[in-house]
Amino acid sequence: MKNENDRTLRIIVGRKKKSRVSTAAQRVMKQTMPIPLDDVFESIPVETVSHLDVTLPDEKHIKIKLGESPLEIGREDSCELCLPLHNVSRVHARIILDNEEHIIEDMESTNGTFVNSVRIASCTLKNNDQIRIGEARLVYVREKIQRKA
Amino acid sequence: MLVTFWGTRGSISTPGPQTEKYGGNTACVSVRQGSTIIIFDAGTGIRELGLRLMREYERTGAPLEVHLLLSHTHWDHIQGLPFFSPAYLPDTKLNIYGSPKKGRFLASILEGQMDTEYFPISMREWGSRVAIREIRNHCIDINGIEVVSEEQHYHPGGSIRFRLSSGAAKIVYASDVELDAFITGRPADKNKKVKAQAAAYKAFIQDADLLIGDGQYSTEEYKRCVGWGHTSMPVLAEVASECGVKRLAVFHHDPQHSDHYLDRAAHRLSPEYAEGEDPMSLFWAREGMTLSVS
Ligand SMILES: [Zn+2]
Ligand SMILES: [Zn+2]
Repeated sequence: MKNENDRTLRIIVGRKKKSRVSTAAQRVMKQTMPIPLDDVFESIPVETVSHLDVTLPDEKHIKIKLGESPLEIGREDSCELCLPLHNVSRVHARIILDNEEHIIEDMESTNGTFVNSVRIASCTLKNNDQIRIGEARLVYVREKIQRKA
Repeated sequence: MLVTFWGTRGSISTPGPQTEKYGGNTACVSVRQGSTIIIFDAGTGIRELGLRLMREYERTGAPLEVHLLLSHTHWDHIQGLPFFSPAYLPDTKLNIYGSPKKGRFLASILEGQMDTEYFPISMREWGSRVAIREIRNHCIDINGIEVVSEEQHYHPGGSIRFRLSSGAAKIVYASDVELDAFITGRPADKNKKVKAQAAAYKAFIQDADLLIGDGQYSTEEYKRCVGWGHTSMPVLAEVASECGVKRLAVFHHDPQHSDHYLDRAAHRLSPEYAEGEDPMSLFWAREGMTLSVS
């Protein structure tokens, strides 16, 4: 006896005539897709979140969320990420959001801003980029998440 | 001078998750100093640069003057040109420099890729003022930046290398050249002409603050691609280091090379040159990276 599964397979590979496929396919869809479509769309990752994992010379870790407003990094208290360390300039670098991407810009620091060991003037950041500012190590993390509830 | 990579890929654009980091756009690099804008090549990366320049133009209202230096007219070096938005602005002055090819004028080659069979808008419909100049082994001055060009023979159809000098700073763009074919090997095995070509290349890159060089292949891959006009990474690194290059950006990435592959290449080769008396910063050029060269 030809069971329903055989038929489903034949319908999917398209061996049947067009008109018959469409009605049969509709029935199969109804039978095999009990998940409401709304849920499927809801689960598509549509937002990107980014943060910095900062490691200080004393092995202390800080996690800093990156959003739309610029983040200044430097020795000065006024910097959102204050790094009172050797070889860090007063305002050393900043991270800005441009065209949905985070860009790190060196603020003409004395000792430079490095991305994956390359001294840069600015650089579009990609997931897992290793940033060095003085003795601090920063890792840029970017991930896609589902829409917030 | 500020150098930005807009496209680093060779041969064909390679979008996708595996090339997200180093980028999938083909050759395009901008060099800016004050209001001067010089561009090396017009691969697909030039589209994004064009959009950036448009945003600047809209903000400041200052007319753009762009100097585009074309190494040669293979697709991966000109294909973005029809999508370079500033070319459509009446305010823009677009100066294009490149080499004449086999009796055909550069202008007609560029017009050809905007023929109605290939693209809906012809080059004649560009609103900007366009000046196309053929150069080969020339030295010109662009707003105080000296631009020297030299013909490279070891690439099918040839290509040009460029050197920009401003004050003491030197940037060399030497893509699409097969260094393995004339730089390596024992001098005794080479004829006079080849020796002279090797010496000319070395003199050209000598003490460059930044060399953007063709490093498409691994040593293994090169063995299968002899005569294709591209260089193996270790040969490029070796000659650059020997000539006192301070920073080497490996460029013209093979379309088959994923981010992971290039990361591993960097991991293997870069530390060799990072220390010693004359260290050289060796890295793989990536889209969206800007370097300051002074
Ligand atoms: Zn090429
Ligand atoms: Zn080529």
